[in-house]
Amino acid sequence: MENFEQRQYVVNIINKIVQNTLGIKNFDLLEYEDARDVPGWDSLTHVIILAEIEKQFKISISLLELQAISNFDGLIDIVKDHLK
Amino acid sequence: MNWLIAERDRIEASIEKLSQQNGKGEIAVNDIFFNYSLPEFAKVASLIKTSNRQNPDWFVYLISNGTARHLIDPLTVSLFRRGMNCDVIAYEYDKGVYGAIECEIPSKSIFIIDVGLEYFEQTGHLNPKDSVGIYFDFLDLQLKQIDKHKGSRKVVILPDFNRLALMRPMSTEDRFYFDAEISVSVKNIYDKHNSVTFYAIDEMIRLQGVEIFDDKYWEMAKFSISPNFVGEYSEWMSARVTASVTRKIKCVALDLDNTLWGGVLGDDGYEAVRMSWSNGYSYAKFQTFFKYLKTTGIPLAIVSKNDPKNVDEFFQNRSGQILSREDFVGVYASWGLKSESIKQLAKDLNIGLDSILFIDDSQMERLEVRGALPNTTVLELNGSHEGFLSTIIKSGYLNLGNKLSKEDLARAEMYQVESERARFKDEMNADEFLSALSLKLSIKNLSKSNQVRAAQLINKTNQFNSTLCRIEEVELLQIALSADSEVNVFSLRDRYGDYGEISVSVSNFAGPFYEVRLWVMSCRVFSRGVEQSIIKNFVKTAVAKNCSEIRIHYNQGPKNTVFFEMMLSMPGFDFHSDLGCFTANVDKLVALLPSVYTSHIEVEEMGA
Repeated sequence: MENFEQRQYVVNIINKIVQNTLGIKNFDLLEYEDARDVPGWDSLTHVIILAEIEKQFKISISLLELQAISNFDGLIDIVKDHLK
Repeated sequence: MNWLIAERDRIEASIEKLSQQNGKGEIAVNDIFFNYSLPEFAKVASLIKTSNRQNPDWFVYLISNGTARHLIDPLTVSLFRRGMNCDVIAYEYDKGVYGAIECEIPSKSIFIIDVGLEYFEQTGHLNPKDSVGIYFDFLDLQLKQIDKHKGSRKVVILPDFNRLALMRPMSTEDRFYFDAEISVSVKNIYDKHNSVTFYAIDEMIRLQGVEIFDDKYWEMAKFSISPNFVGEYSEWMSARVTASVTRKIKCVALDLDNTLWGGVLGDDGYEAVRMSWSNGYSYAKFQTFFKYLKTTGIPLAIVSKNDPKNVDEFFQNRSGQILSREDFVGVYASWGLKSESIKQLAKDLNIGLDSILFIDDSQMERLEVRGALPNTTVLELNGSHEGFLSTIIKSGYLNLGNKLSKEDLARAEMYQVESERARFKDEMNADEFLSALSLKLSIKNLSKSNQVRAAQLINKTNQFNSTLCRIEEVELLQIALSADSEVNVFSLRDRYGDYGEISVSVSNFAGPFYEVRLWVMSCRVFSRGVEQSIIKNFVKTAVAKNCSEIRIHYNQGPKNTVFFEMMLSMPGFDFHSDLGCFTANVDKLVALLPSVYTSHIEVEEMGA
């Protein structure tokens, strides 16, 4: 899968997870810088979304990796790295 | 309750639809929940909340020292599927324990204390024994606080001590003492707060085969239950909570062919069906499980599509039987609908259809019973027989709760006798039947020998329950010791056997009033004239205490209209809605006693 296509694939799935968890219709991750900008994204939903991302992509992100993520770009990159 | 069943069915249909959309359509409803993610649970919980037109039956407070808010939706769903309409309340990390305990608590509340050891590991104690010691001190303190909320139920989930022990290298000897110390500490807490029900989280880990704690989620957000296993956790927890609130299943109805034994009796013959340890291992194991279950007081019955002659022949002639004919309160073998056989079984044992658990390998039969008897619990069994027992155990329907009274242990035998009574009753009219039973009612004060059963009757009886007040054992003892109150425990026996303790009344004497604050009676003895005999006893006590009026308090609940109707039929009593009680003039009742309150019951007063 090409880099751009893979990025879009990751974004689409994360969008769906966030839509389901936060109930935001037509959510697009690319419209936001980081989680603090998204209404309803709190400490609890943060963990739920991350757990869902791990489940959907069948990956396991370590705590060290999670701590290094500072924005959504970082999150997309980590997921992409695990899918390689 | 019917609306709840209808809602449950409607929601389960929505769940099936939801699962098909998510590609889980082939999985039975029971299994779906293990695979559900938190957003999926949230959808189902929202369906329940929006359809929940009535007030919740219970308020469930989840007390944790970690984050527990993510467990609200899964627990709401699992409890609802088990017939408990609950409002689940949980708090964020560090707000849970005191937040819940200090706020105003509704009377029908259940506290689940699920405090993990992770928090105590962080208190700087290297020795696991110290962490455990702090845990039990903390637990004791919490329980003392919760004890202030009278009538609330308490469930303690004991943490995974093994995990803590494994995190600190220990010699075998130290490990042995560590385990022993935990047992002693649990026993101490149990003795101090004996109305608490304990369950161990290790049991859940063992049953579901999952490690529910994940360091990552604890460090990130103080989740003591990993978000990946909330389905397993809530199913396990809801089964235990249901069992601690009400011991719902009173009889297990078992199919025969390919359930109790391998093969078809009618085709293969009684010697060829497989049920021995050498040929039919899983059936032998299955039968042994149910043979033991019967000793805990849950009676067994056979509900099978078979020729009754073949079944009789099997029990008379088959060698190496594990479950014999005597182990069953009834054998309902016929070619009719199984739902009809189950109805007959409920009638013969004088129990509700919702007290029966039906176990059958055939999906067709399960569908027929589920369709015809929505109140009856029908266990979904998938795959081969080897997995049946594990599904039954995991379901939690046969969980025994905290403590078994002698009535519990003798229940299987009592139902056997009840079944004989039912047959006897069919042969004569009602008056002849009651006279022929030679009923004897014994009246005792509350004492050590009957206090467990008395508290059990008070806390589990829903139908013949005057005010639905729930009183724990300790509080009941305090009331009994008070000079102006009395707690009477009534037991009954007849020519067929002993019913055991069947009724409890809690009364006080206030000036001219003899006030019955609570009166509960087991539904097994309805229509035997016991209620008239107990009223006679109230009159006798009122006269002895120089009271001029008897007041029997009544609070309406979802199931206790039977009590209201019974009281309306009692001569001499009138209902006063402003007072919330039935009242009767004692002199008038004394005059009525000989002619109206006649019964076929011999009464013996036995004191303590």
